[in-house]
Amino acid sequence: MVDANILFIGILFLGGYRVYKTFNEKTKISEFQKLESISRDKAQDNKIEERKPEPAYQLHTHKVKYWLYNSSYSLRTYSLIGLYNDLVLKNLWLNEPYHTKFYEILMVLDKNELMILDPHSRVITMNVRGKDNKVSTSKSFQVFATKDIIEATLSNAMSDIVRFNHHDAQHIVIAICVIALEQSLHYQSHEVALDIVKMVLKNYAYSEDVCSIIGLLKEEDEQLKFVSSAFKIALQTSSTYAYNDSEVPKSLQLPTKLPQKFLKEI
Amino acid sequence: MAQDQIFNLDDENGIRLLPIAIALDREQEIYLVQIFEEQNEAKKKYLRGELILVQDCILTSSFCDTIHFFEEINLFDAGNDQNRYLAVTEYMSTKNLKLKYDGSVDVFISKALARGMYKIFNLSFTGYSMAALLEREFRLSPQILTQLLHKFEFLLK
Repeated sequence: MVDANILFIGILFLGGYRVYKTFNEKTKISEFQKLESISRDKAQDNKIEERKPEPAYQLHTHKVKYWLYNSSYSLRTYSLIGLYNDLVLKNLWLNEPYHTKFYEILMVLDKNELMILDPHSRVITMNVRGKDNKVSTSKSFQVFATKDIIEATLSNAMSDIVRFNHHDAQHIVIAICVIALEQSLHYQSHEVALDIVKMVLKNYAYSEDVCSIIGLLKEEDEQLKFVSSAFKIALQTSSTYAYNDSEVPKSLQLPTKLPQKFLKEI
Repeated sequence: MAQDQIFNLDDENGIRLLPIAIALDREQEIYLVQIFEEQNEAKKKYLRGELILVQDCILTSSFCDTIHFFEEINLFDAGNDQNRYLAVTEYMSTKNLKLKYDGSVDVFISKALARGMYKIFNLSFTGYSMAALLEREFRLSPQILTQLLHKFEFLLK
């Protein structure tokens, strides 16, 4: 009986000791792991500190080249070159077909001396005896140059135009050009100006949109009121020229072939 | 189209010319436009041309034609069908002169008006030497005349 008791106590003692030992070992391991992780973290921190910052490379935006028309080469009028720079280059409106269509209009304006009759002008009939002693009858009146009016209207309305999204803004620009061309004369001939309008709107993918904007402009839509006021200001501020219809009319020149675009930095 | 904005009407010797309109009848807008030569250094002013402007029509462009026009006015009803600028008309036994031109408004000149116009025409020469006008009249072309009228705002309503 005593032996059995001793044996039981012995077993208990042994079991207790083992439990104690394993517990001790576990705590030691966890402490070691903790230490190890701390030291690893410290080492990582050191590594981050040691790593050099990556060099920031400059963006070479000034070296980006765009497909552009050489306006200073193919346009003779300084104000039209300015218009190309302001409306195409500054806003980066290089999307087709707007870019080409706008350049086509600029070329028509450049090559032809289109004019708008001044609403305040008198039409004076002149009987002038020439060098051959024959009396010739001609008519004289005061006109605006269409290119001056388009340039002045666009620069007056530019701050309002850029508020629209760029597609609508481009349609408004084309619509302003068309309206000015519709009012233009070419040696007292209205029909020739209409030919130009047809040429402008032909083969243009957005001609329906442009036509609807022209309709809105003629109805004096509330949102597009700034265009008519810009046009009025243009008529008030542009310089006038004298015109006499005894001059020999030059034929209308429409660009058959546009010049080639070339890559250029802006 | 005349694109040269800065324009001075100069004669062949580089002397600057300017037009001045003298009203003969304001009611029917009949003007005598005199073209002067100004010499600022010598302080002299010479007549170089005479035109008649009626409504929106330049009727005569040379001094010779202008004198003929005024002689027709001076003759009044003594003139005949051979008149170049004025036709003698009769209405209710009153004789008048009717201007022959392509204008939209008919211009009638009564006897008193004719005498008044002739008087103003004669007065307009006082103080000027006629020699420059007779010997060195400036010959206007339609283009030069248009630019001159434009510069001095005759083309405005």
